[in-house]
Amino acid sequence: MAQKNGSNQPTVQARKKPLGMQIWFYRWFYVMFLPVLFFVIIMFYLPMFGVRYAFYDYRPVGEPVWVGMKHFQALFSRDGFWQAFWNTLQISIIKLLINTFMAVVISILLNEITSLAFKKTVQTLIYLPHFMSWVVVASVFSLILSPSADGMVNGMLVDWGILKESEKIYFLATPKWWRPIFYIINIWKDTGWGTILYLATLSGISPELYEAAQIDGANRLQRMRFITFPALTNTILTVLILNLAKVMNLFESVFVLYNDAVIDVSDVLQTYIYRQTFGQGVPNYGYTTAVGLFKSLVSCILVLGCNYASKKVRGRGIV
Amino acid sequence: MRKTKKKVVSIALCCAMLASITACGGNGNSNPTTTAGTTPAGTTASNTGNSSNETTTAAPDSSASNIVKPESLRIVHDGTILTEGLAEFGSQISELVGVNYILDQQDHSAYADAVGRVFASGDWPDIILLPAGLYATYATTGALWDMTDMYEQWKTELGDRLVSNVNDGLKINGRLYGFAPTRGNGCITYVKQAWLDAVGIQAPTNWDEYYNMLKLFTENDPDGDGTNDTYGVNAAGIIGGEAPYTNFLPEFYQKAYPDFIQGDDGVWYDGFNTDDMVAALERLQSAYQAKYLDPESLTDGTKDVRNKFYDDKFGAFTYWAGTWNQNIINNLEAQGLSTDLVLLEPIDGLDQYIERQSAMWCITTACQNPEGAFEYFIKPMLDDGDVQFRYTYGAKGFHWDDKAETVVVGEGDAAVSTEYKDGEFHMMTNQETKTLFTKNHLDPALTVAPLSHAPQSQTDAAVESNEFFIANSKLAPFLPSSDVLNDYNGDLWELKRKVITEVVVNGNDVATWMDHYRTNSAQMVEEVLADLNK
Repeated sequence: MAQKNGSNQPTVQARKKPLGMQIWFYRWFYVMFLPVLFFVIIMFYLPMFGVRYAFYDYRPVGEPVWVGMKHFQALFSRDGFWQAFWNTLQISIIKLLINTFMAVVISILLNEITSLAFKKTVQTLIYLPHFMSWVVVASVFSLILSPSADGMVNGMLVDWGILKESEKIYFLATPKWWRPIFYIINIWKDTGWGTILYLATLSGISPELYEAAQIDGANRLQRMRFITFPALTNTILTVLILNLAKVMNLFESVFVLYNDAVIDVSDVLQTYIYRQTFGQGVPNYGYTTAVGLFKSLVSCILVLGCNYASKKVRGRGIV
Repeated sequence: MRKTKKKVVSIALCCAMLASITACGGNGNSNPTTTAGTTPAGTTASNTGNSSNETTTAAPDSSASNIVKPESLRIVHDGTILTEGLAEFGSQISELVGVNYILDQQDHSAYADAVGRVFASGDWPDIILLPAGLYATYATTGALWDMTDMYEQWKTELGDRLVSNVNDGLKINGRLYGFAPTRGNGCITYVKQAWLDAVGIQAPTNWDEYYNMLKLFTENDPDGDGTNDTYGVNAAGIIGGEAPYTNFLPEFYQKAYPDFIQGDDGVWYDGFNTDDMVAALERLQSAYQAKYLDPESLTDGTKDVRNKFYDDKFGAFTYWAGTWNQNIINNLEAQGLSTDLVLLEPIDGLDQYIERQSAMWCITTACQNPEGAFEYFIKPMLDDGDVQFRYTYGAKGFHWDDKAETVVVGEGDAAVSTEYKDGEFHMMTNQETKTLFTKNHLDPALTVAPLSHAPQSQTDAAVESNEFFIANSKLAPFLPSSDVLNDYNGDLWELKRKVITEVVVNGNDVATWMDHYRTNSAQMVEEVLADLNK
C-alpha cells in the first residue's frame, strides 16, 4: 500500500511474510540449528524434570517416595545450611568484586605498557596460574603458608622480627586469616584470565579519542575517567551479571583449602551438600536435589535482580 | 551454485553435530573399564600353563549339584583389582572358570558415589564389591542376596584352610549378605630406633612413656641437625574420615570409638558420649597444644604425612601393616636414613590395634542365578588353584610369569635387571611406573584361606609386620546401619568434628564442648538408638 513519507515521496510498506514462509525461506539455517536444539533439549531441559525428586525420598535402592516439603523443612531448620548459605553469598560476591576490580586495574595497567613484547610476556605470565588445578594450588600454598620450619611466609615474618618463633601463624587453620588468604589465592589464580576480556575491550577503543582528549588538555587520569572507564562499563556489567549466576556454584577452591578449624567461615553450600551426601551410608538424592533446587532459585534471583538494577541505572540490561 | 553449496555445508554440519552428540553418549560412569572374558559359555575350563608354584584345578562341576552354571556374570568393582592388565586377568579367569566374567571397574577414588549411581540406575550388576561402610547399609535395604546357607556349607568344605573367621563377624542378625575373601588389615605404630637412641629411651609401653617419647622427639633434636624442627607424631587428620576413624592415632584414642557401638549385651549406644572419649580428647588436646602432635595433622593427607616421615620430620608413625612396612623402609633408605623401625606393641590402655572391616563381594537380588554366582565367582576366588593364584598375583604373562626372561626395574642409570630361569616364578614390571607388581586383589598375607603353594612375593619386613598385626589386633566394631542413622549421620559427624576441633585445635574446655555435643545431638541420638535397638 503506497504511503507518503515526510518529503512527499511515495513509499511502499513491505508486507510481512507469514511465519511458515519465513521458516521455509530460511529452512537450511533451521536444519543446521536442529542438532543444537536437540542437544539443548536433551542435556538442559529434559534433566529439569529431575527437579521433582526434591519432593521425594530418593535413595539408590527402592522406589522414590513422595514426602512433599520434608526436605525443605529439614533444610531450613538446620543451622549448618544457613551458615553455608550466607558464607556462599559473602565469599562469592566479595571474591567476584575483588577479582573484577583487580582484573580491570591490571588490564588498564597492561594497556599502558608500550613495549609489545613485554606486554605479551607479562600477560602470559599472569594468566598461566588459571590453568593450574586447584588441588596443586592448594598444595603449593599449604607449603608456603605452613606454620612449620618449612613455611616460607612464617619464616620471613620471623626473620623480619614481626613474629616470634613461638608465634607462627597457621594461616589456613585460623578463622580470621582464612578468608583473606582465600581471596589472595583467588586473585593470584584467576585475575590474569579475567584481564583477557577487558584488554580486548580496551584494544577496541579508538586511539583518536585519546588523541583528541590529549589535545584538549586531559591528563592520564582524566583520560582514564572519561574514556577508558565508560568504555569498560558495559563489559564489566556483562561479566558481573554472567558471573553472578555462578555465585552459588563455589566448590572446588573452598573444598581443597578448608578444614574443620575454619568451617564456620569457609563452609559453602556445595561443600555442605558434599558432606551431607557422602557422610551418610546411602545418599539421599532427594535431599541434595532440594538443596540444589534452592541454590538454583537463588542464582536466578541474583541474575534477574542485577539485570533489573542495570536497567534502572543504565537504561539497559543484558537479559 | 552458491545456494547448493550452502545446502551441502548445512547438511554436513548437521551430520557432524549429530554424530558428536551420539558419540558423546556415555553410561554416566567416570573412568569405567568394562572387560569381558573371551571364553564362550559352556567351554570346559582348562589349565593355562603349569609351574612349580601353581596347582591345577578344574572348574566346578555343575552336574554334582542342582546349581546351574551361569553363562555370564556382570561384576562391578573398584581399583583393588589392578586396572593395568584387567583385560588379561578377566580373560584368564573367565577361561579357567568357564563363565564369561564382565568386569565393570568404577573410579576407585569415587567408588562410593559410583555404587550409589549403579543402584540408582536400576541396572544392577550380578555381583558388586561393597566397602565396609556400605555393606551393612545396602544389606538392610534388601538389595543383597542372603548367602548364609551356601557360605556355611562352603565353610565346612574349606575346613582347616580357613584361617580367619572374619566373615562370621560380618553377619547381620545372623545372616550373611556378602563375602570378604581377606581380612581388612589395619595400622601399627612404627618408631624410628635411631630417634629412640638419640634421646636415650626405650620403646614406650604405656601412655606416660609414650607422651614422654613425643616430648623428647619434639624438644631434643633427635635428628641431630641443630634445629628444633621435629615433632613427636603426625597423622592424616585428628580423626579419620571413615571407619575405624581412630586407626592413625590409636595411642591417643585407646578404647574410645566415636561411632555407635553395639555392646556385649547387644544394646547399641553412642560411643562418642563416653568417658573414654573425654579422656581421648584430653590426651589429644595436651599433645596438640604442646606441639608434640604436628599441628598440620589437621590438614595433612596420608601422602603428606608419609613424606614428612621420610624427611625425618617426626618419629612415631602409625600406618598400614604389611606391604607398607617395606615401602616405608625403601623410602627411608632412599633418603639415606636409618631403616631400623620398632614395631610398637600396643601400649597399656590401647591393648590391641584395630582391624578395619574388609570390603565384601555381594550378590545383588537382581541376579537371576545367585547360587550360580556364588558357586562360579565367590568359591573359585579361594580355590587354592589357578583362579586364586590370579586373584592374588594377577594375569600370567602380564603381572607375573614363570618363563626364562630378564626383568628390568627402574629406568636409566637406576635400572636393575634380574634374570629368571624357566619355571622360576617372578613378578613383572609395571611399564608405567617401572616398579614391580606386588599383588592383585587378594593380599596373600590377609587371605582368609591362603594359597597352600604361594610363592614368596612379599618381603620379610611385610610378612613380619603382618604377623605382628595379626597377633596384636581386634576387629573394629561392626558398622551400624539404619534409615534414621542415614538421615542424621551427616549432622552428627559435623557436630563431632566441631567438638574435636574446638577442644584439640582451639584448646577449649573438654567438659563444655562435650555438653555442647550432648545438648545438640540428644534428639538425633535418641532417635537413632531407638531405631537400632528396636
